[in-house]
Amino acid sequence: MLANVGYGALWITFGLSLYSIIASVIGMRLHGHPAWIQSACRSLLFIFPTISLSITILIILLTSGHYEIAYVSRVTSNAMPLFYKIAALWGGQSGSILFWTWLLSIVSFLFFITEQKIKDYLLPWMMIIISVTLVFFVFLLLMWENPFNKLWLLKSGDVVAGFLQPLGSMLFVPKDGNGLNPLLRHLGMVFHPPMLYLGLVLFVIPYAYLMAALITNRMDDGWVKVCYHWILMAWLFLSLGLMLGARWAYDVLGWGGYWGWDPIEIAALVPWLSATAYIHSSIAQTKRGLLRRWNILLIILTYSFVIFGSFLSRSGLLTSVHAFANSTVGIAYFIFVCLILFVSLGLLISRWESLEEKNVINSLLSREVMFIFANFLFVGLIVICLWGMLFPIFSEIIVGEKVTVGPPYYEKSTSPVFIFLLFLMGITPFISWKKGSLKGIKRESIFLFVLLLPILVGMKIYNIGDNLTIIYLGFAFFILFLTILGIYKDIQLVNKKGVENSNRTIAERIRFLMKSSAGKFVHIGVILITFGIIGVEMLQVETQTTVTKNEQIVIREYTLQYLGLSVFNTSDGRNISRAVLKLSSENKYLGELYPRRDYYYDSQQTVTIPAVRSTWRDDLYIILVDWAAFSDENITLRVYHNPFAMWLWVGSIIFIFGTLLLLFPKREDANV
Amino acid sequence: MYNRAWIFLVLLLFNSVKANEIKPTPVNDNIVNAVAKEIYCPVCDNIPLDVCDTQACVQWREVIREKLSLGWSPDEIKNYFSEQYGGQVLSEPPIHNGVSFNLLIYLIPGIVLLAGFILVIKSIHSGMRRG
Amino acid sequence: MHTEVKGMKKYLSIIIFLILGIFLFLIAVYLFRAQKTSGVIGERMAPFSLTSFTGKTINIEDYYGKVMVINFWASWCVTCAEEAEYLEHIWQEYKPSEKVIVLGIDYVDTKKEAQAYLQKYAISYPNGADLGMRISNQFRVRGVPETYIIDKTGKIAFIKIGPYNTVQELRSVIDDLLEG
Repeated sequence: MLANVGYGALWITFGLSLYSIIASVIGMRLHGHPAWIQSACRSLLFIFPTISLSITILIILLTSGHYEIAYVSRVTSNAMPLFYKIAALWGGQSGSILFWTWLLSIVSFLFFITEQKIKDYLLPWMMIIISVTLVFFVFLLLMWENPFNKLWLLKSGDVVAGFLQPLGSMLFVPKDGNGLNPLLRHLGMVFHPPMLYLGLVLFVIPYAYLMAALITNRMDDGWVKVCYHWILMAWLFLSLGLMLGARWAYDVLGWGGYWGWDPIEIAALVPWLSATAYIHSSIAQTKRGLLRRWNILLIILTYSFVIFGSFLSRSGLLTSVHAFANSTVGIAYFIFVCLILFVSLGLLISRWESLEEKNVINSLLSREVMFIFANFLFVGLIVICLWGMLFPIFSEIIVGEKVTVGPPYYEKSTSPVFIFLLFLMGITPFISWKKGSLKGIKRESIFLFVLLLPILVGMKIYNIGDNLTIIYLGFAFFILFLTILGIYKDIQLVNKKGVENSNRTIAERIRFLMKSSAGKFVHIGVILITFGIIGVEMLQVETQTTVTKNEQIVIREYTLQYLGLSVFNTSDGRNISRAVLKLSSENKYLGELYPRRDYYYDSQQTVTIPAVRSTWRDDLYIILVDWAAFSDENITLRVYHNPFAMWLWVGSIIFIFGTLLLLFPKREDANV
Repeated sequence: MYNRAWIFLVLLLFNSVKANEIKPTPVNDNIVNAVAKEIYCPVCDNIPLDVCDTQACVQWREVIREKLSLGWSPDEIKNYFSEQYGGQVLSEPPIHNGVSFNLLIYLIPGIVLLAGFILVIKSIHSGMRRG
Repeated sequence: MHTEVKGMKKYLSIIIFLILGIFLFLIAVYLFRAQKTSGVIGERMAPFSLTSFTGKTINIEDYYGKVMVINFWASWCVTCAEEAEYLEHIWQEYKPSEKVIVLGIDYVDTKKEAQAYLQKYAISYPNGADLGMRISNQFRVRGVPETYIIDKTGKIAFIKIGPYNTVQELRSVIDDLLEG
């Protein structure tokens, strides 16, 4: 049967990975015997097609309703549309581990195909490290989380899941499956996990490369360029994954929230923070030869955080809406985490002396010092996040008290750090390497303050919010102006250089500018996101009321009138209750909004889908409150007014755009 | 989240209730939600009471409404919930009178950040000495 | 000077590994505890007390030597209602022998709804709310209904996760324990 082939393919993958390790070791023993090394490499490359076979089979099983496979039963159902059935691949624990492993195989396949110039003393160790990772994940699949387990009906009447047929049982083939949790039946499910997983998995390449260099003690700075490039790619997808998650949460899941400081959200944020720190400090290393050991540590930590985060979300250790069900993989994962941490850190410490630092700092006011402080702040955020995540565990073990560490802790502790980071982000471009001075922008900064004043006054007059919010907004504007000023200066520089080398065309100048200002575009994205955060966190207004037909709700300057409820069935197995609301502002008609409640017949669960109206200035976000009885006559609605919410998404797009500019094309002689 | 508007409204409500007569006053959804927002559902995963849709959460919101209408303050209600269902329903680890393990929630990051800052300054200084 | 710095580095790395080790150890402990499911058969039940809905204080130690049927339930729990009548039936059946006690522990519930539930199913055996979820944590209760049957020596003899489907199931376990 198809499932058996899929499972067999996993065993072959396991065998290939083991062989790759063994062949690499033999090849090294025989002092770089090319045949063994090549064989190991080929074996590693061959893993990609075998896992692809396995995952293709699972997708076929999922989309064709083979409900005798336990996983298919759990996450799909007849009523689900095709693309959700495919997305259900990562909807449960075993399928998502298989997906993760498949991404791992793609990434390693691409790396070994594209990076032709890997030094031959690094290659075997890289293959070993990547193969060990593959062995671990495939082992998880084979031992504990087999996606191809079938359902067996025992004589006693119980149904069990397993791969081999228990004695006296027969195959159990349900007519329909449970279907994906309705909360997951959203476009976000199609994009957010793949992007996130891809980002996290990509970190294995720089880690493996670095480890290979450490082990072979060939720490010439060749690793810096390779690692920087791959970490940037990983960071791109991780950022994209986090932003998609936030957008998805805002759209459906989170009651107007885009980030809940949920432990598993934080588990994905922590590697992002250390990768961001690395991206900045590695520039200091390229420019001034600083922070070499620190950068190595950051790469080790980033990868450790990736595996640790995966461990936390799959072991049932953390209570979270994101967590997979309690599973036995926890112990295996924990051993793997400990192995990675102790081996990597041990290796770093043993090579510590040979990584001589040419640490020379000429002035406190210099870009490298600013980067050092920025790194310190990022690490500070990581400490705050990790401590908050793990504190409930420590509290329960040490004092036996169960506690929850919720948003108040994170908001209070991370806000000042973020503010300092934003400040550094704004001023660092104006502080040069080695010895910087602020004399250059004294004139411009006065001009910026002058520009800022009417904005502050305007905000106060229009009563945007309380004084604290206005100060925050003013601060964000100031950083925005600084960053735009930075881009302006870059343009001046490009034009000056263009005049010097008169053969520079406009297109070349633009390309050069894009390259050197790419980072600043990313920063602009950050500031726009900050505007969105300030708006939603500090200026949000919400109200919940029960209204009768034709009654109105007033929030800020908007009026919503309840016109009635329509109830109908859809072809994909849902019963929809849809409220019709008329929106107007100061007697001007603005349109209709339709918050609704979907009831899924197959899983007998409900989802409330909000109606959202977004403009540059604000979002109106309306939810049908379904735990109170509702009808055409009476309905309970919760309405949120979120100022500046759209800037979260605009900022995200600009952020990703800037990051793409950083990645492609490869840099020539661009300034940083 | 900063919802000063709602804290203001709650205060307004209690100012309107005279000290020596506790008449049940009708409490609207928003005031209930403002308190429910700060209490977590004891049996769900990390969901505050104002958005939780289970039967149990509906009952708990009614408890909040009842207590509010009797004149209880939000803090008293939060204490009641934490006594009934354990400290994990609060969004922050509670600091019981004086010294408590939960002080560490802010103390440890503070100490670590301070130590880190000192380390950074030291290494910058040694870098400058070489320069 | 060089050896001094080297010594310091060694000292620092030992501290870092120690702290890391402690953190990982604590996580490992938590992991092992989390693997253990609700209660463990053969485990000796620790003493606890609770206040019943009628205001009486119940000390479980007073009942040592009897077979105890400890049932965790909640008014919002749909499947608890299914077994409510069976438990009451058992109570009525074994009450005269004075060798069995049925105790209901209200899990994460509200007093009003709990009392309404007890009235609806005409439950007469002692019931109380689990203040601060202490008793639930002690038995590592994950959901409701869960029933723990304690034998005459005070050890957990039988655990039922989910509702009882028949009275006979309960009865046979209790009879076994009464004999042994």
